[in-house]
Formats: sequence, structure tokens, C-alpha cells
Amino acid sequence: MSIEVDIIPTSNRAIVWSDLQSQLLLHPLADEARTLLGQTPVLLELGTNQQVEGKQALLPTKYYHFQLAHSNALTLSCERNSETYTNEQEYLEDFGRNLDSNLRAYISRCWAEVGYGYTVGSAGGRAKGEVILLAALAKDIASLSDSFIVIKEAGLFNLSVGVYSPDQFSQC
Amino acid sequence: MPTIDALKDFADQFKRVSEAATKLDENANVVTFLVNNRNLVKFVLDGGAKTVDDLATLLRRPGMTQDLLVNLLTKESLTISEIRSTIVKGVPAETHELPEAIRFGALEGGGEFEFFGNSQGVEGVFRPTNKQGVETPVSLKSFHDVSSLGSLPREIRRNSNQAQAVGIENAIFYGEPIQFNTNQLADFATNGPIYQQIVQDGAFSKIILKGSDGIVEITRSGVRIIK
Repeated sequence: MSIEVDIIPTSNRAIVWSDLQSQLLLHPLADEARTLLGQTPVLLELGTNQQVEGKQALLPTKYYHFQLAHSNALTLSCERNSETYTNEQEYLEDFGRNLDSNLRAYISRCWAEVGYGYTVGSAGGRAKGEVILLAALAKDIASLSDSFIVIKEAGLFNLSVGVYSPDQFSQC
Repeated sequence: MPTIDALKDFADQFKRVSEAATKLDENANVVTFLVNNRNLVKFVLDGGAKTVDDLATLLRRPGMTQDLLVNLLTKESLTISEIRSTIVKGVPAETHELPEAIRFGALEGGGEFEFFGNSQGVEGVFRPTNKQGVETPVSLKSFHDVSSLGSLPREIRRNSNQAQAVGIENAIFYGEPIQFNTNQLADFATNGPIYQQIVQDGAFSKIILKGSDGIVEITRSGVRIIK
């Protein structure tokens, strides 16, 4: 996978697609990203291409892609930690390098109780403005689900490897 | 007094350099390349006329600029024969994927790596030179910023799940967790989900991990270290 950002929830607040869609449309975006998003972004299940209905919650285990104003390579997945062999504590110790041990332990505990996480990605052949849209998507998902955003590759969005709140992330 | 062996070595080296000089007369593009990158002359002194031929071939490849070739030979530490072994088509999404694709292709005996324009779970396909008609989907991952072995299965499984969701099977996963050695990688793979589950039931029938001192290859039949 090319660019990926993990989003780790600390509450069970499920994301409903229409809420995420509204947030995205309200999100301040640069021109290219705004053009790419278009007026009516559509979320489709990967493989079946079934359209996600407005009131449908984004729950595990699902893989999605987006139908936007232009062809794009954005993906969204929601997976159970148990299905990806994720040990929350070990994961936070690896990537939560910017956190103090108490906050790391707190996020790890909350995330383990929720038991799943989101990942947004952008593969090869991405459209103009897609990386900005990916960042907006990550921030909106994190805001709607009381989540933290995880940067796993140094330099992505000019951030170090670490775990960031939506506000910290949006300042990048 | 020089020994007979030392004189023979000198004669061999002189012959190699003479042959290379003759070849350079026929390849102005290589001369320009070496004039601009004098630190790479050692490749020609070591490799002789064949290296001049190889460089000429590489510099004629579509998309192969002088800067890119220098970057692959120096920053990425790829050898000329590795770069020659694999022709890359399409455009990688990230710059680190190009050297990964070449290293992967060279390990597999050479061939053609084609990046997909828009992919899910895999970056492209590989067509090996020695197996006509075979086309294998390949996923690439750097892992450079991972500090714990425990983070590897999550990333590989996620790629596998996503590839499966779009119907990809019998793909190859190639990753470069070079901060770990092959013994660490092989032990971890053997005793954990990488061998016991991911490669058995997922989209990847082979997982190749490049460590600091070699390669670990995980297939459905076992785990082996290649140095």
C-alpha cells in the first residue's frame, strides 16, 4: 500500500456514512481536493461495488473505495484488531513514540475495548488533490469516532512517526 | 619485486580497462554520464567492457534519467546487474517503491515489473523472464519506520485482506524490514501468524522479507533464509 494512515478509536461511537459525507463536504479544502471531492461523494464496498446508504454505519469488517468527481485511488477499511493480529499495547509502543507512557496506556486500553480500527489509504494512480483529501478524510473520521490518527512513516504530512489527535493532525 | 601473480593481476586489469576504453569510444552517452558522475567510474574499472555495455543499455531505457540511475546505484545501493535484470513499467505511487520493485525483480531472477495505475492491496504485477506467460500480483512495503517485529503481521494481513476483497490470489508480498536480521525475521515468521496463518489462507502465497543480512522467504511449505 502506498500511503496509509491508521485511525484508532477510543469510543464505540459508530460512524454513519451520511455524517462523514457531510463533514467532508463542509471541510475547508484546497481547490484541487474540492474539485476531486465533487458535490456528492459516494462510498462503495470494495469487490462488490455496492453503494453504502446514508444511514449505514461503517463497522468491521469492510473495505471501501470512493466514487468522486474524478477517478481516484482512495480507500477506507474498518477491521477488527483480532483479525489483523493487532496487540494494541505493542502497536502503541511502536508507533506512539510522541506520547507519554500514561497517554499511550490510556489509548491502548480504550482501543482494545473498542476492538477495531480504520485505515485510509491512497494507492498508485492517485488524482490531483487526493493526498489533501486523504488528510481531510482521516481528520473527519477521527473527529466523528473520538479517534487518534497514526503516522507510521516519517515525513508523511510533514509529521514524525506518532499518534496525533485530530486537532494536532489538522495543524500539519 | 612484484610477484608473478601480481603481474598477472596487473595485466588482467590493464586488459579490462583497455577493453572498457574501446567500448567507451562507441558509447558517448556513457562517457557523458561518467564525466558527470566521476565517483561511478569505479564500476567501469571493476566491470570492464560489459559494464559500459550495461550502462549504455540502462541509459537508453525509457524513463531512465542520469539522475535516477545515479540515485539507484548510490543511494539505493543497487548493482548494475540488479537494475538491468528488471524493467519497470508504469509509475510507482511512492519513490521508495521503484528500488523495491527492482530488488524484488532481481531476487526473482529478473523480468518486468509493471505498476498498476490504481491498485488495491497490491502495487503491480511481475512477469518473470524465466517463466513465459506468468504474471504475479505483487505487494510492496518498506517497513523502514517499524521498530517492533510485532507490527509486521498487522500490515501484511491488512494488505492480504484488501487484495482478497478484490479477488486477488497467489500474490507475492515483498517487504524490507532491514532493521531486523534474517534469524529474527525467520524465527518470528515461523512461530507466529506470518507462516502459520497469513501465507496459508490469504492472498499471498509467498512473502519475502529483506533483512539486514539476507532474505527470508515464507511460502505455504515453510520458511527459509537465503543469504
